[in-house]
Amino acid sequence: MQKPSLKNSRTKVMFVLVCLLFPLTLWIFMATGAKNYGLISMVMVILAMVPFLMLYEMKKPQAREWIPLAVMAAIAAVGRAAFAFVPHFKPTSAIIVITAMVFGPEAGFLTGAISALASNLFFGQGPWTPWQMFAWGLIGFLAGILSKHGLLKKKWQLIVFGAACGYIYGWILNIWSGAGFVYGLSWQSYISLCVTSLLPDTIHGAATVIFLLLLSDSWGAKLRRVKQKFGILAS
Amino acid sequence: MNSGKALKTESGLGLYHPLVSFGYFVAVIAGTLLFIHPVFVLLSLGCALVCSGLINGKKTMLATLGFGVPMFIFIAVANPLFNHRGATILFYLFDNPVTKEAIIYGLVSAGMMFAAVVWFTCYNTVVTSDKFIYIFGRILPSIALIISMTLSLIPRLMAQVKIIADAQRSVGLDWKSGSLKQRIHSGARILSILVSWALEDAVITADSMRARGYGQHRRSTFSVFRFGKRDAVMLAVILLLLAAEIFAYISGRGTMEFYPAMVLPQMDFIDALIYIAYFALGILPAAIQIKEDLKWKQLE
Repeated sequence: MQKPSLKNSRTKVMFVLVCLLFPLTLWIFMATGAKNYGLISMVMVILAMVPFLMLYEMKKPQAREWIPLAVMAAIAAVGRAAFAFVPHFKPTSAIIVITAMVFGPEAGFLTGAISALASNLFFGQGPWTPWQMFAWGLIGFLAGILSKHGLLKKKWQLIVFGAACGYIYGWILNIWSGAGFVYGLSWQSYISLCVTSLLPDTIHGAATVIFLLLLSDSWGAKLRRVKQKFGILAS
Repeated sequence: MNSGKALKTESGLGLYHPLVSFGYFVAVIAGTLLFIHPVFVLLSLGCALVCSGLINGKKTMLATLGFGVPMFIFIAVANPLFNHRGATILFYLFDNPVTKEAIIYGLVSAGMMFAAVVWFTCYNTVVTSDKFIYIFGRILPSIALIISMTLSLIPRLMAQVKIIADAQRSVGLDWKSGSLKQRIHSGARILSILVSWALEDAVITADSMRARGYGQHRRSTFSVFRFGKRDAVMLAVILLLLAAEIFAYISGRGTMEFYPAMVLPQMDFIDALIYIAYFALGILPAAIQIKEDLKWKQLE
């Protein structure tokens, strides 16, 4: 057992502050009658990520617990760069899903968010970075939760979820495209954006399915071996 | 402030404490996304391009323009096509009205996005990853360390991928040739070999870290930054200009009605002051850069 240190309680205070910040920001934007959805959505998506990261921080993870996550995030980033020659066809989502299946939802979120942040060092950081972090983080989180309940064991479940990943990712990023330039973000404009992005999202989903089918058994085994051998506990 | 290593390679704003440079970009990018108003967008875009030209160097600048200009055109064209609000209908395209307001709004929001992208390229040059980790290491130490590890792993993994790919090619499994299916298979195999190697390596790293006392004390950072008087002054200037931004936003001077009909901004004295403050904030990195360059020339 670790004694609650000063730093730990500081993180807790920060956590509470962030939780309060969420409604407060919304209220400020409402009160001033703001219509700049670009900024509102950006603030919201950043705030939405902070609790996930803080929860992980508060657990005071050991080096052995998180170093495999750093490795997987780096491999996901390298994979994104390696397959850049086929547009929208990337193994990143599949690698995040496999990691989340072994290490749990929180680790999945972290791996997804960090691989987006890290790979953008090559692809360029921009206003889309928090969105990609959130989208890939969410994919990892969902994969972790589904697999915890034994819902990603069968091949067809993996195929359905893998295909869904392409659309989850695309639709989250469409919120940004919509908020960025379409005034008075409406359902019609959002849906037309989603229709436009149907092909890239389908390619992304197909890539995720292909890589999941190719890699999930062998990589899952490798990760489980590391986890078991070195006593890394799933969250 | 790390004046001890004031190398010419460091940009002017980058010589300040990370808190100052990071705070600056938060202020300027928030301002850029906050004001959907032609004057603010023009000021922000102009300053961003000037700063990018001075800070980033020619190559990055050209890459930014190569990405930014098509994006600008895409948004400027997409808005009037997606959006049919506005009172002044110019013509009909496929039975959909194209309005003057939507075209102008498209131009303004395209300029806004362009400016945000250019500011981000300046951010990438000034706030290097060690500064980013320095700031976040205080709030989220473990996560900052994971990010730092990931960043250092990427070049190592890239080098390892090359070694593995060469070995694979020599046994006839080249990922650069064959059908798409074969190439994907070969690529996946390379990644799979990489995982085995990297995980093994990671556990050794973790044990090595534990042996050297990771988690026993507060972690020190690679770069030492001291928050000096110069940083305090600069931070105060940035906060003051940020306050002007917030005032402009709350008093409604930073927004403009586009629909149904445009109301052209009537400029008064306070507006002029706000524009000057906004311009001062935007041009700050360029001013520091020019000042540092002059100082450098004098010393030479």
